Amino acid sequence: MRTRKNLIKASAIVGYVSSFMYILLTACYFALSNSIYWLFLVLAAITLYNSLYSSCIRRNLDDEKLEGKLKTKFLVNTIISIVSPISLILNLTAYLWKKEDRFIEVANPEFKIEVKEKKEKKFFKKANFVLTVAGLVAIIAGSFSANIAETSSYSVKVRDFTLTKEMTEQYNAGEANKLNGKNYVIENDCLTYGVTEFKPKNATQSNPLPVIFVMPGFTRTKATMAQYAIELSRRGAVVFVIDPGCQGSTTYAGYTETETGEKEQVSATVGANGLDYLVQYVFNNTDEFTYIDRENFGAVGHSAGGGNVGQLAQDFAGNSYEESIIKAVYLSGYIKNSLANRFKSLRCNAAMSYAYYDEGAFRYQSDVSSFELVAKRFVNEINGKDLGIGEAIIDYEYGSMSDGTYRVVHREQTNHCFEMYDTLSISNTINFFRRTLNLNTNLSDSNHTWMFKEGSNGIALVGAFVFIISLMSLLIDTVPLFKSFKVAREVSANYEFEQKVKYGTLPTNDPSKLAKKRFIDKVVFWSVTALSAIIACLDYIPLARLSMELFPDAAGNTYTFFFPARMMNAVMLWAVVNGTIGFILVFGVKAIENLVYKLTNHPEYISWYRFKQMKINWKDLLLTLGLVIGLFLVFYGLDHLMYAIFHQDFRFMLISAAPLQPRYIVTWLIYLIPFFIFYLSNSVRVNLSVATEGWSETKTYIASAIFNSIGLAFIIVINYVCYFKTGTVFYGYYSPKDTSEMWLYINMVFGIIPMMFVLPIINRFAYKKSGNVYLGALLTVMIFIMMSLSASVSYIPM
Amino acid sequence: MKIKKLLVIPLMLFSLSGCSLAKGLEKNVNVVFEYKGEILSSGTVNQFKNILAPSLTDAQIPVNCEFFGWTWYNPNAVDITAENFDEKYIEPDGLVRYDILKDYVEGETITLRPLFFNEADIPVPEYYIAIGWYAKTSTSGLSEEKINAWVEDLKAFLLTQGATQEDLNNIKITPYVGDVATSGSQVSKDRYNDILLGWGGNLTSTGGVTTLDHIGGIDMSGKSRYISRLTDKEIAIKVFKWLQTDEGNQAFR
Repeated sequence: MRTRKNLIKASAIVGYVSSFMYILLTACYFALSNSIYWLFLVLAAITLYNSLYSSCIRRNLDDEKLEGKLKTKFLVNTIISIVSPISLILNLTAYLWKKEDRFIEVANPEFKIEVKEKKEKKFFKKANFVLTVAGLVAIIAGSFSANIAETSSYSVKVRDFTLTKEMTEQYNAGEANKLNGKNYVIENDCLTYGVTEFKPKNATQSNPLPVIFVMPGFTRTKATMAQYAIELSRRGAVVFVIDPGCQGSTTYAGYTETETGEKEQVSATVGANGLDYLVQYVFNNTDEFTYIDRENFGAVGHSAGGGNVGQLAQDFAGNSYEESIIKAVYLSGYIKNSLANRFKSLRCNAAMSYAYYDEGAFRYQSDVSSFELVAKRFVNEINGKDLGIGEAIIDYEYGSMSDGTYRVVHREQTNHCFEMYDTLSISNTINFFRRTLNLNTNLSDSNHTWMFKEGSNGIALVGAFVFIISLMSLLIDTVPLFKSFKVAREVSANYEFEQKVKYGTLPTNDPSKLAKKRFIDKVVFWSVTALSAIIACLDYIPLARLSMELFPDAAGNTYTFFFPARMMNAVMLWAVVNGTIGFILVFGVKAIENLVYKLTNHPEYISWYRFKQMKINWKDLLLTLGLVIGLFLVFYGLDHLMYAIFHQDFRFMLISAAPLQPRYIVTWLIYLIPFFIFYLSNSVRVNLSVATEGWSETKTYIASAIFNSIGLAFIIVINYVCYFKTGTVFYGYYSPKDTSEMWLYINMVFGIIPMMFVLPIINRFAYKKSGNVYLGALLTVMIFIMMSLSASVSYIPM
Repeated sequence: MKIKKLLVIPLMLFSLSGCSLAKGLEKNVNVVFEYKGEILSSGTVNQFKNILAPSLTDAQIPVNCEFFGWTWYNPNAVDITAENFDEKYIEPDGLVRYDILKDYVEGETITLRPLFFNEADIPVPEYYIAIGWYAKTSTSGLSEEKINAWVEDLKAFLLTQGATQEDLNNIKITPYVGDVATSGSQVSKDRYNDILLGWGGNLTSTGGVTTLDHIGGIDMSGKSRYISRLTDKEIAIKVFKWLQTDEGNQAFR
């Protein structure tokens, strides 16, 4: 019978859960700026330490009966567990339990570790090989399947092209090429736009099809708008998706000379962020685009892209619906006054949508800027007049499609960054263009296939990581060059095995090896873990604000080689600070612990393992670097190969490994070292701290993943608890006095959390294979940072 | 181990249910705009959704009264001179936000009633000097840049007339838009202006503004426009005279 021990164990588990719930409450009340959160934080700490102490007492029951000092300690701990009532009941029951537990020896003299002699499997049956092949199959199958979805079963031809100055000079310049009196010619050779065209195969000279231009928002690339392109092209529209300035495959806009001879930057968003150039080029290029209906041009954009298509529609409006080049425009997720001031100049049918839970709405809560006012202006300010029809009714259709006065306002129940993935939002867009541009389709508006592409790309993304990690493992296991890795991993595996034996995770036949994890050890470990998570949660936004000060050029959208990725600068500062704190905590705390053990005469607890394992000789370091560079090239080589064959890269929604671009390779080199601090720190923490706790491997993996991502996850919790309770995000403006907008930095966190969750898992796996902490850190920093950068914006002058 | 695995399912479901919590947290408030005991319009507000307050037609506003907006207090008990007066009503066409009303709702509905004040009861704000300008640039020739430059000249002039820094901080500059009738009507409603800039001769007739001095021929971006004095405050008389000098109106040219 082990009833008492089981009761205490149950009490401890309930205590851990309660502690987490208290932390959650702390975050909630913190989010609501209610200072009672301190109380919950204290309760969380008490519950955590109470449960840790329960665990220690439980371990002591292996050797002792519940009497004397142990009984008193348990009674005190039971009383303290009142902060977690269920734990209190369980502890009390354990305390009052009459029957003594049967004494159980953890060290069993009879026990023998049976080392099963594993038969050497054939190469092609080894897990590494099987997973490598499986990863490759997933990549190919996922990319192929995504290609089918993207091309709507090959009924749409998808191709990329680059819009250059030369092309616009040929088709956009000169009096004859003017559209409504305007020419849009790219000013500098350095500015080129990445464009993807989705052309239905039934688009011919005799069957010209309507054209729709799609514009992503700030920090997004054209690939993130593929869902619009897929759904519209399969309904018979020729779709062009463009990368905005300094994003994706579009370069910087260069400089111009002022009248006084000074060099002045050409805005990254020049020419409606490239759309003006593209629309005029496509319209005038009758040599190539023979299959388009020039009477039916439309445009849709999300977020800043919504602002861009609004400008586009105004730029090409002319004086009437007949003159307007853009016949239909869909403005999504953008309600700034700068856009509203264009409404009266539009001469085309228009729709507007703004997510019901748009996090940026806190900026528009005044009489002159609210969504309600902008929507009212949208349906009232028609052809330069004010119709005076009052407040806009959501989903109500105003005006007439035949004369370009049609207006409709939507509010889908989604948030800002997922609005473009919201099925209703996409259906509304389809509905609008189907009717205003007369798309010839029998498909219902809600018939969507884009998610198959998204899912398939996701499979390829997972496959790519499985492939690369298995390949790494396979190479280390089979290539003689990596023999030293095998030796190093034996050392670390032995140490970790000893720790597991020592702390009772594994049985042993040598009682002298048994040790009890002391309460103080647990307190130190969990306090350090909690502290690092709390710091990671609280310092992100202040550091994002600091990034605006430290990198003013990037923050001001000015071209620069000095850390040019505006949004990533915030993440980089966070990584540097938290990586450094991680090092300090892992090594500093261990050094202090050792000193305390020495002073208190406990030499058996002193361990320098953490420090020793950081050592690496030059040969191994070069080998590690070589292996990592090779794996990186294979990863991106495959990415390029899949893009070349299937027009697919590895991605899932906001997480993506876009094909390499020179401008992003240079940007990447700038960011690698600062980020490496964090990635190495994580590898050290996972492998030299968490993994030496004596836990099972599964627990090590899960705990490390949670420890590394929970701080960021709580940023989301704090932000959205406040948002759903009050209607205003916690991280909107930096402070009441400092109105720097921080809410977009929270959007970045959505993409980072999955990476932070996976990071320690890869770090751990790489360490188990190589015995060095650098391999995983280098591999992950190279791939993850390239992925993050190429999915964001970089104001590098390239 | 099986139990642990089974626990994962409800935990995941619990996490997912968090998404639907957002909807549950919404606190809808029905807002009813009541005019003369009848419902004029209504709408629903919550943390994520606002509505616009309706406006009233001239015919709906009692004679010699000004319509300030909509209040959730007893309109008869609202004191226009109270320090927090601005927090007690929402202007016509203004934004009705959940945040404003949440503390006053009993049940799920709140009724807003029009807030009228007799024009004679509306206190006129006191400024060291108040200048109104016609912001219809195409007509008046005045722009924000020109007015800003002129205000700098004005401040320099006022300093020579013994104005203190406190006085300079208490200068009111108001742009007026719309046609002459609309802008003139707004000027009359505001009642605090000492001097007007940039209107034409029809300010008094079409605009309905009563002036003490009304002088034309002032060059404003090449247009011949009027300046008008509405009060006989000593400083207003001095400024009006100064406005007729080259030094006083050079910023308008």
